[in-house]
Amino acid sequence: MLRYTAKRFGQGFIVTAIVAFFTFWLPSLEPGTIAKAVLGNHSNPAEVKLFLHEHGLDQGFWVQFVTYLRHLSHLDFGVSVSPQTMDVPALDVIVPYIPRTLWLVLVSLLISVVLSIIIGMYQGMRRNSAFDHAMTFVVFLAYSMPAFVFSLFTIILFGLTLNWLPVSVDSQDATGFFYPLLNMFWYHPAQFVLPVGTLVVLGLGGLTRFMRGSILDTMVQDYIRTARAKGCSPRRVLFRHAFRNALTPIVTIMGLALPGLFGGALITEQIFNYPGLGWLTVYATNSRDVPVVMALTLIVTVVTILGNFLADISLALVDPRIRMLGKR
Amino acid sequence: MSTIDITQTTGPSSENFGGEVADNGTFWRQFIRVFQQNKIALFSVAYVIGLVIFCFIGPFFYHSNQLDANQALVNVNLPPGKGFPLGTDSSGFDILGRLMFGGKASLQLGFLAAFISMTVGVGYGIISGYRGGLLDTVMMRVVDALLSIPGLFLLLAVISVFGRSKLLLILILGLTGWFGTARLMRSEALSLRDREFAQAVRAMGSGSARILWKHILPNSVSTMMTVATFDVANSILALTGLGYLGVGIPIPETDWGAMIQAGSVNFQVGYWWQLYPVCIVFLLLVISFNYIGDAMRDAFEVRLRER
Repeated sequence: MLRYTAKRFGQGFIVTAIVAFFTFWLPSLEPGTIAKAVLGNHSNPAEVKLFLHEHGLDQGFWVQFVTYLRHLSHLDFGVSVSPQTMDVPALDVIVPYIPRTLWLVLVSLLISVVLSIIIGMYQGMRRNSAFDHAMTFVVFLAYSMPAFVFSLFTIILFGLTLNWLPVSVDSQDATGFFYPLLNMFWYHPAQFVLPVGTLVVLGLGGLTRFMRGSILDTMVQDYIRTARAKGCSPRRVLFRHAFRNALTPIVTIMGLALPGLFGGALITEQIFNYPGLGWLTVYATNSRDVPVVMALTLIVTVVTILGNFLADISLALVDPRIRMLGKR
Repeated sequence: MSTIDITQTTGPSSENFGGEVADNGTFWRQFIRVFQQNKIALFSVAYVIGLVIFCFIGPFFYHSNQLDANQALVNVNLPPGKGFPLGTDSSGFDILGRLMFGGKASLQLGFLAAFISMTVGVGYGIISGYRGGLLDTVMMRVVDALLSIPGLFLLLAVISVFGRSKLLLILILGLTGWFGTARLMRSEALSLRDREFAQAVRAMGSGSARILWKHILPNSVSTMMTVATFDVANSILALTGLGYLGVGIPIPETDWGAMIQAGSVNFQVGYWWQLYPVCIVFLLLVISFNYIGDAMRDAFEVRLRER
């Protein structure tokens, strides 16, 4: 197990390093962008040159990369260059936004996993029934529905036409790691129904498809036939034998669904005016705040990689076959 | 999902193929025979073709002002009626004409970006899978890394550095859309390179380039077509998402995303005609592409089962 964990961790580390190289390399293709953001659009070439020299942006590529990595190891992502937060360290700009998105994504992920297990199981058990076909169609719709169109429709239906739910989230001034969670479940639950609901439906498409396939695969296994043959009740076969085995792959899929959820959160946050990481990314992109955007990209990616890592490790914990796979 | 994960929706590629394409006529005839049994997919194809005609040829027959902002200002926010079949938007542009105008840009961008991402992804994947070994490991780790960056964040990161223009958007969408394709084509090449026909060709003394170009590539055409369909859909989806976020095609041109964004603001004061038409047209397009992709995969798979 230790060996597997170490190996998986090593892989995650390499992937992180590649992404870090990417977030370094991309701005270096156009160093003038940062200079222009600080000096303004009408700066003359000499000023730009001086700026680049002062900030070490005219040094050799690899020298700069090593400096970048050294700064990263101190969690220094550079400083913001947008007018409102000029010279504030990028990390300080980002940190207040992290818990909001993290909880939004985690809560949506949990809800959609539970729902997809229930729906997918039921579909798999009653294959080709009316329910199966109806759900397949609904899931197909959810799968091909772009986030912003879906949330627009929910806003129109529940917010504007029926007037049941608020269509935006109030300003979330208070910070603190658990505050967004309290907000979501205690202070303003109504405000979060639509954003969370949107993300849940978006995640549901892929997960349900997968869960249905998984249970169908499991039901034709030999050990299910054995269980039936030795006289287990259908209930027991389902819950003791099929369910447990069909469930294991969903841990991996949860990890794989993370990038999609973060992407979906980006749009959802924009629509519901929820100041999370996605909202900040759009804002920073519009003000050409390259260091903050790069830091955001790197942070979101590392969270995703970490999620995948945890998913793989927990899968290996419950399923010894995975651990053995690494030893061959 | 806001993006279509091709690695999930396309089945295991090991089932995808048996031998070499000997007779192209039969291959396509069988494919078309199975494909046309799927009526919804046929409707989808008809819709896509119809939309392309609507956007590209429509403006020749339906003239409307889409560029002169001053002239448009007198017609701001008019409901559907005489002279404006679908009303006008908040800048005074005719919505029906705007649908064509924005659709043309969206479709152009979608197809061109998909073309780039197909070229890069197929080339990258096939070389990685065919060469194998250390090169394959390194190349696939890079793809893993790029795939773990959430798509929209990656797009915004690139846009924040380079700004945006139509050409740049095509490049950005194309060059950030090939990771899934590369992964699929890699497993395709991996399963094809050790087939008997490939061994036979190698034994006869063909070089790697020839085997790749003349044998591996034609044999993965079914996977490529399916992937290309999803690629076009993904590019258009991503572009519309960017347009919605306000970082799409810059003015005076427009795309459907920007139209949806503007429409969703004005919808709240009752201008429904600014939102519904563009949403319906766009949604149907995305669903059509998904259906065509699904149906294509089914058609290719049935063909294989019947062999």
